[in-house]
Amino acid sequence: MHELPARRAESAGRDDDPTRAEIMEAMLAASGELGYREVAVRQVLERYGGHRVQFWQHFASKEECFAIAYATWVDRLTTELVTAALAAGDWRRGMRAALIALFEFADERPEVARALLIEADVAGGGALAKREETIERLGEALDSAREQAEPEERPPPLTGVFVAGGIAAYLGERLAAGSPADLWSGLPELMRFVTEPYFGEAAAREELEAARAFLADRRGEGAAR
Amino acid sequence: MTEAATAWAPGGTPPRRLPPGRHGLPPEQVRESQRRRLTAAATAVLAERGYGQITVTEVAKRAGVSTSSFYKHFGDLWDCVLAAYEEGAERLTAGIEAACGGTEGRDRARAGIEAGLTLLAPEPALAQLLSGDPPSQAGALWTARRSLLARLASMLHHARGGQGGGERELQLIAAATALVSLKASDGGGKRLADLGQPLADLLHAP
Repeated sequence: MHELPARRAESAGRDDDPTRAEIMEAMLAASGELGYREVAVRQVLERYGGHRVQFWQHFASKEECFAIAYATWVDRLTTELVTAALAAGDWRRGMRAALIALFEFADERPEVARALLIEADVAGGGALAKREETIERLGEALDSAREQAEPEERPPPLTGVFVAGGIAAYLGERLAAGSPADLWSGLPELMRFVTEPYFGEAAAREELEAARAFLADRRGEGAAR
Repeated sequence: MTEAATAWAPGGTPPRRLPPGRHGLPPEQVRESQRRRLTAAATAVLAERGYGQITVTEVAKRAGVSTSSFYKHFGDLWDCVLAAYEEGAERLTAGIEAACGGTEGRDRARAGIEAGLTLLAPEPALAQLLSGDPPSQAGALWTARRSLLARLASMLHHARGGQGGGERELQLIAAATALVSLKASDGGGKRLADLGQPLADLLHAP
């Protein structure tokens, strides 16, 4: 293994270097727009507008840049979702808040969301391992609802990972279809899907209706603007 | 036997490279053998290297054919991967449909899940191909994936009593596919075989 150039060694693991952060964001945006496979370092450079040498000061390769950018953004997004959920008070409110935050992110940054939700499978390596670790982590957070159920009514093992993977699969499919405007239409069904294993059909139906009401309000606000 | 030779095999027959020199086989048989080896090789190379690293050169080399022969069968790499996907999807759905015959309700769901996992467990490369996310720009692969998930969701909808429009089953199948992808890349066949009971509970629970 070769040694890192001095500047790269200094910045390794640091998210507070603005140039490094810009390169990582450009890498994800380019990968989400063009596909990871098609992206060359040149296109990342064009996006962030810096000099070629800056890329190589911070990263050894396109692969390394994507893997680090992926881990940084996924950790940040996961923390935001968990924070939104915890601030909401209880599991069901927290789930609503987290899912809405996730949908807003995907709506506002579809190209970065595509990189996070789809292109990690394409990149493989560290990014894919991080994706799997994140699904497991979110699955554990979802499974906190198991503690609220009677032992005989607890959902089967793997429910949290199953639900977390289902959320990622829904968003990945919508983002691959290239229709962010259509993204929100699946929120009610997704809320039902997430709630049902833990709280049963009646609660799931309530969440579905709550999501429909939320979308109606959102459309109303959009029309009023 | 190489992994490529065992990665995909219609009817359970591993595709083998034909003997060198004059073999007296009709040209159609030679073409069919090459095509099967190429789709098997694409499945195996994808499992090992992912969508980011797979190349026509490596697929052709693994299949034991020249790159010029590759292009006699497929317009580009994605045509070959799509053929591998569609062949695998057809085997999977045919196997599940056959296993579900004569059963209803929870038994039907369980029979279908067991049949699917029985087919995929010894072929983790195929499981990864069918369950993983294709590149976001590979539109034809996403269309094939949507078609597979819709067929599986339709089967599940039947097993769950056929109520509603099928949206719930589509979401459940998408989640099951994500779980299979996770287990296939994280330990292969053994992890997949262990999914039978949890998936039966997760997919059938109304």
